[in-house]
Amino acid sequence: MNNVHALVLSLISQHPDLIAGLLSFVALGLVNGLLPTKVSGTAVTRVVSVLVDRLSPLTRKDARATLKWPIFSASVLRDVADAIDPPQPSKVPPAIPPAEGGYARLGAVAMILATALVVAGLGAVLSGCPRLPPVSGCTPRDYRCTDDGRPQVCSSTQRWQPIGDESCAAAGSVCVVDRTAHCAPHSITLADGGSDAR
Amino acid sequence: MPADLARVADTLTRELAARYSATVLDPTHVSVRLARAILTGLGGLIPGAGPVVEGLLARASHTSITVPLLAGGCLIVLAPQHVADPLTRCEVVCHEMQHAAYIDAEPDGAVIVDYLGSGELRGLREAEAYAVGMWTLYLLTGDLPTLDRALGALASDAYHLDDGDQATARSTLESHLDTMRAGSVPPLRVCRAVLAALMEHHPDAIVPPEHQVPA
Repeated sequence: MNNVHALVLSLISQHPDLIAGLLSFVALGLVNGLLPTKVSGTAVTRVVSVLVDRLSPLTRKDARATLKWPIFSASVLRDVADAIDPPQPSKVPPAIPPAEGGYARLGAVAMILATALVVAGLGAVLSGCPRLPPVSGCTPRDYRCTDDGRPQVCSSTQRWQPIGDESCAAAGSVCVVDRTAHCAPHSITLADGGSDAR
Repeated sequence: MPADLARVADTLTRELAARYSATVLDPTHVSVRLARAILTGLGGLIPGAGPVVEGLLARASHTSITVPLLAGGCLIVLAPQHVADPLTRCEVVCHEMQHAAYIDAEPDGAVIVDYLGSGELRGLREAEAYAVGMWTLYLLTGDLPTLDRALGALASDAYHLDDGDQATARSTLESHLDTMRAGSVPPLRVCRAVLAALMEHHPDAIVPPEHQVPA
């Protein structure tokens, strides 16, 4: 599992453009699967609709088939031309396709599964609780330094919240309380008498 | 000779992105442009979506974001207004890298829960990200920043912070500003990483004497 994780991370860092392109490709397919085949609107809207459809591996939601080869399945230029100047409808009635038995479209099933996975994932993530420190009863906006030399502030909900993600010592400083709790060089602290320095 | 800030911005982006497993996308990146084009197209395709998409694109022009990736690491998408000049780019990249550092330190989703589930924690995270941006500006200009811009942003509707959360965020920012005023490095790993990257690659770009590389 760790190897797979490391491989994915390495692919992202080495080929960010490729990964971004793949993600865009997947997103495009999902969007296309939600759109109807017939899209009305301005010429620009129709051209965008055609390009989205031709670049997508998923067909439109009311299409009979589910998957197709993106862009290679038809003449894109012809379809764009048709979108700008739609052909006149034929006077010959189209042949009625033979009736088919009921079945679930693979695309629809995939969309439902993907949505369920995303919702379940989000639900799992959001079912946790924010990690707030315990209420201590401190006075909001009070400051202090911890024993390991980290500044803290009392929040509006009366919790001691850390300021920063490491102690002042990490950068060779000490924590002092002077108006606020903050980091200061050793020299300044000694010159000032070192009150509350840690 | 003044430092070439465009090169400094490139260095900070490269060094910090490698350190915190972040992928940084410029607004001119092909996938960002494609996403914008698709959104614009959808605005025309879906009845009633036009105003929503327009609002989204307007906000995206001045809002950079950091998004955690399921596979690990995160994606930073820079807004067009934030790459207009190299100094702003340095500030915003470092701001977003603070978010990337949180995600990198705890890739299990707890960071997302904290950020979305608590205004107090969201305010603190944003205050620290703004502190990193202020620290970067301080290093590159020598001018101690004021809190006005950060406080204005924290009070905007972008973060949905109530008065108490904003007050706590302000207290955090004041502490970091006092640390800078005292001549120390704010106690944030990204602040140390920014200073280290500048010391290694662009020592001439560091303006405050107390942080310059000894001759």
